[in-house]
Amino acid sequence: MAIKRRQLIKGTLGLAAGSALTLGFVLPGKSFANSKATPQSAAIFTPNAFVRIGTEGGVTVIVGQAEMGQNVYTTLPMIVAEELDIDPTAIRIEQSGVAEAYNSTFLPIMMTGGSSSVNSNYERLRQAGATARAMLISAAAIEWGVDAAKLKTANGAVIHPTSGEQKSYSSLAMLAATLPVPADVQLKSSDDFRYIGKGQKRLDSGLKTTGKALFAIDARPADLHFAVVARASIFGATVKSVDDATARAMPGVVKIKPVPSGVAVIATSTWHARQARDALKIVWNEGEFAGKSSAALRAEYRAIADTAGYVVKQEGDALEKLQAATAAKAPVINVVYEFPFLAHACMEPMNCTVHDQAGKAVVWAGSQMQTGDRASAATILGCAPDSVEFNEMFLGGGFGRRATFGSDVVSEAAHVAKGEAWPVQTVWTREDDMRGGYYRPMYTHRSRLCLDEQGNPLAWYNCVVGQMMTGMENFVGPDAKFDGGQTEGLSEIPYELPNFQLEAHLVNSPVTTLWWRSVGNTHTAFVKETMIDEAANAAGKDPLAYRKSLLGAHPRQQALLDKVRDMSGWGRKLPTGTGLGVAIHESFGSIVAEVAEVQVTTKGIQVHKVWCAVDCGFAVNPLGVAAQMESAVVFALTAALFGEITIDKGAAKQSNFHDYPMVRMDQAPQVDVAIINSGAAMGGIGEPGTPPLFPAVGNAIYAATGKRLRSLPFGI
Amino acid sequence: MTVAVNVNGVEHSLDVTPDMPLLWVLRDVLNLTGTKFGCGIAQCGACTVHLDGKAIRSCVTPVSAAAGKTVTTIEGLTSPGLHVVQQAWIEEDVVQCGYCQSGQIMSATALLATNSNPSDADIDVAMKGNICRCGTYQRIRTAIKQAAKLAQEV
Repeated sequence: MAIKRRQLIKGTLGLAAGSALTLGFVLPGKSFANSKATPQSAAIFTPNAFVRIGTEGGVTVIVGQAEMGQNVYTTLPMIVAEELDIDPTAIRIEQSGVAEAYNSTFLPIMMTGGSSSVNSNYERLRQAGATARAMLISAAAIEWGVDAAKLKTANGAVIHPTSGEQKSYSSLAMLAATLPVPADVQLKSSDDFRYIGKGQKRLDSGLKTTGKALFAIDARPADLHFAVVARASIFGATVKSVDDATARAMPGVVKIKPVPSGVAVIATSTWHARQARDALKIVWNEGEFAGKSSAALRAEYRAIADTAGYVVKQEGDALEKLQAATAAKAPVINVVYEFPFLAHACMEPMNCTVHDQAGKAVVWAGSQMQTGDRASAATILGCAPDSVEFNEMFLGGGFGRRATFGSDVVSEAAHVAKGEAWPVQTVWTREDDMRGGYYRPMYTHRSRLCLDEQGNPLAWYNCVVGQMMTGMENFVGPDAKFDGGQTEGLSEIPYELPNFQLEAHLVNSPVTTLWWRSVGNTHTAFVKETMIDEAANAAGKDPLAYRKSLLGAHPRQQALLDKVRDMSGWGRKLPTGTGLGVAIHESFGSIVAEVAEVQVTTKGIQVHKVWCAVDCGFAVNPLGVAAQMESAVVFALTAALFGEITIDKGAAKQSNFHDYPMVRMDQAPQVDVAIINSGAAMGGIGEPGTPPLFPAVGNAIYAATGKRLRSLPFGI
Repeated sequence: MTVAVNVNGVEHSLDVTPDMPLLWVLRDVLNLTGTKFGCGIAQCGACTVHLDGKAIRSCVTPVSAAAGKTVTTIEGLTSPGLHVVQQAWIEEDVVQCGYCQSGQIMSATALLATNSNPSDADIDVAMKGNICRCGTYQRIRTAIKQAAKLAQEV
C-alpha cells in the first residue's frame, strides 16, 4: 500500500504531539537541542515508528524505553543502525511520546522493566532499520534507473553499483516517503554485523558530562511553581487536622492545599516549599500500624514461616524425606533466612511536573510506565489521555521505583497541580523518598534440607513469608495465594534435587511494596545459593565443584562456573580472614556467576574484588553489558552490607544517606566481567547481575570466618 | 536584600533570602539545572560546585556564603571546550543514569586542580563524598587517572 505524504506528515505530527519537549539530541561533538527547538525538516520519511529521516538532519531513531542508565539510548539505536547501515554515532536520538507503537512486546503498555528492553525490541528494531533501508534503496534505484538488487549501502548512503556515486539517506527521504512499505525485508546475517556485538560507547555521555541532560526534576517551563507534600510518616495514617498558620506566613509560599496523600505546599522554590512544609502542624489519624516495629514484624514472619503455607511447587515428597532424616538422626540443615525492606534510593528523588491546562495538560516525568502514568494524570485532571502531552525525561535511576501500578508519584503531582494556572513541580525530599514506602518487601524463609548418602541434596522444604507487591492484586485477583515476587528464582531450581517443596504465605501491612532491581531474585537467589553452599559444607565438598556436580544437565551454568573459577583463581591460598565465595543464578533469561573475595577484619567486611561471568545468550553491546554487571554488583553490595529500612512505631526509621548508606568510592570492589555468547535465547542484562552477589559475599564471609550469615544486611 | 554572586563568570545581584541554599538559587532561581539535588544534607555530593575554585556542597551552603565570591557549576566548566575530566569521562564511558555525574566531575576537577597525579588513596579521599547509585566508581577512578594524563599532554 502506498503511503501518501500527507498521511506521513499527519502521522509524524501525531507523534510529535506527545514528544514536543523531549530530549532529542544530536550526537557527540555537536550541539544538542531538544526536538522543539530543532523541528525536523518539512519532508520526512517515516517508514515506521522507530525511524525518521529528514531531507536534512539525517537519521533519527525514536526510543520508547526509559533511559535510566541501562543504556537504551545507545543499544537500541545500535540495532537500527546495524540494519540501516549507518554509524550509531551519526544518529539523532529522540524519546517517543506515549503511543501504542512503543508498547512492550509482551504487555499492552509502554514499560521499561524486567530487563527486557534489548531482547524484546531486538527483532522489531532490526525490522525497522531494514525496512527503511529497503525503501531508501528503492528510491535510489528509481533515481539512478538501476536494479535495486545491485545497490549497496554504507555510512548512511546508498552506493551506485558501477560509478561508486553516493546518495545520502536524507537526499532520498522525499522519494522514499512516497514508496510502499515492503511487507517483508531481509535481515542481515550476523556474520555481516558491523555494530551489533561490538562495544559501543554511550551516545548520551556528551549530555551527561556537561549538565545538559534534562531529568524530570530539571523541567523548567515558564512560571514554574514548586511543591513539597507533607505525607504521613506512619504507614496507613491519614490527616486528621492541619494548622498551616505559620507555614502560610512564610516567605515564598503561594498556596497550601490538601491532596489525597497529605498536604501540599506550593511556593516559589523547592526550598521555600520545603521550609513551609516542615512548619505545618498536622495531627494524624495514626491507625493500627503505629505500634509496629521491624522486630515485631520479624517475629510474626518467623512464626508464620513455621506453619504450612500454600504449596507453590511439589516434586517428590520432601516433607516425608525430611521427617525420615530427622527420625534417623541424620543431619538436617534447618535454618531461617531473613530479608529487610529495601528502598530504591534513586539518586534523583521522586518528582513530577504537571501543568493543568483545563481539558488538556502537560506532564514532565521520569517514568518506567508511561502509558499508565499518563492515564492516571489524565483521569485526575479530567481529560483524555491523548490530550496529555507526556514528556519522558532522563531518569536519575529507576530500579523499579518509577514503575508503580497506581502511578503514585505522577498521580500526586497531578492532584497538586490540578486547577492551578501554572505548572507545578512536586519534589520529594530525600527524606520523603526514603520514608515513602514502595520498598522491596520484607521476607522470611524457613528452609530445611537433608542429604543423601553421597552428600547430595535429597530433600528441600522452603516456606516463604512476605507481602504482595502493592497493586499486584489488581492483576492476579484478590484470591491469589502467593506473589511471584516471593517465589521466582526458587520455583525452578537447576540443581539435581529429587524432592522439593516450596510453600508461601502472603501477609498484609500498610507498608507499600514494589519490585526492586531483580525483584524476587533479590532474596530467592540468596536462599538458593546459600543453602547449596551449606549443603556443600555439610557434605565436606568444595562449593564450586559441588555446584558443578549437581548441574550436569546445564552446560551454560557449567561454563560460567568454570569461567569464574579460572578468573578468580578459585582454590588458591588466601590470607587468614580472607575468603572466596561463589554463587550462580538465572534471572530474566540470563545466567550470571560471581565470585567475591572478601576480607573480614575488626574494621568490618571489605569486598575487594568480584569476578563476574555472564551468559545473556548474545551481548548486543558488550560495553553496556559489562557496565550493567559492575553496576549490579555495587547496587547489590550496598544492600548486602547496609541496606535495611526498619519500621519503628509504624514509620520508616531511616531517612537519608547517613542512616541508609551507599557503597562509596573507597568501598567499591574491582569488578572483572567476562561475557559468554552461548547463542541461547537472548536474556536481559539490567537486573541479572544483582542476585548472585548477595550469596557470593555471604559464602565468602563463611569461607573467611566459618560464620554463616543468614540475615541481611550483613552489617560491617 | 540582594546578594551579589558571580556564577560562571556572570555577575548576579539576587533578591533572595540569604539563608537559601546556593543549590536552590542555582536550580530554581537561575535555572542552572546541571547541579543536582540528591540529599540536602551534604551526604551525596550531587550538588557539588566550586566556590572560588574549591569543591563545596551547595545544598548546605547558604547563598550569603557565596556573596562576593565566584561560583563555578558544571555549565561553567565546559566553556570554551570540554575540560580534560569531561573528555576522560567520555573516553572511559563512565556515565550511566548520569544524575550524580555533574557532582562527580566537579569533585574530580577540584582534586586534579590541586593534585596533578592522584593515587588511588587520594581518589578515595576526594571522591568518597560523591555517591553513584549506578556504581560507576571503577570507571570514575580510571577516568580520573586518564584525565591526569590528558592534562599533562596539554
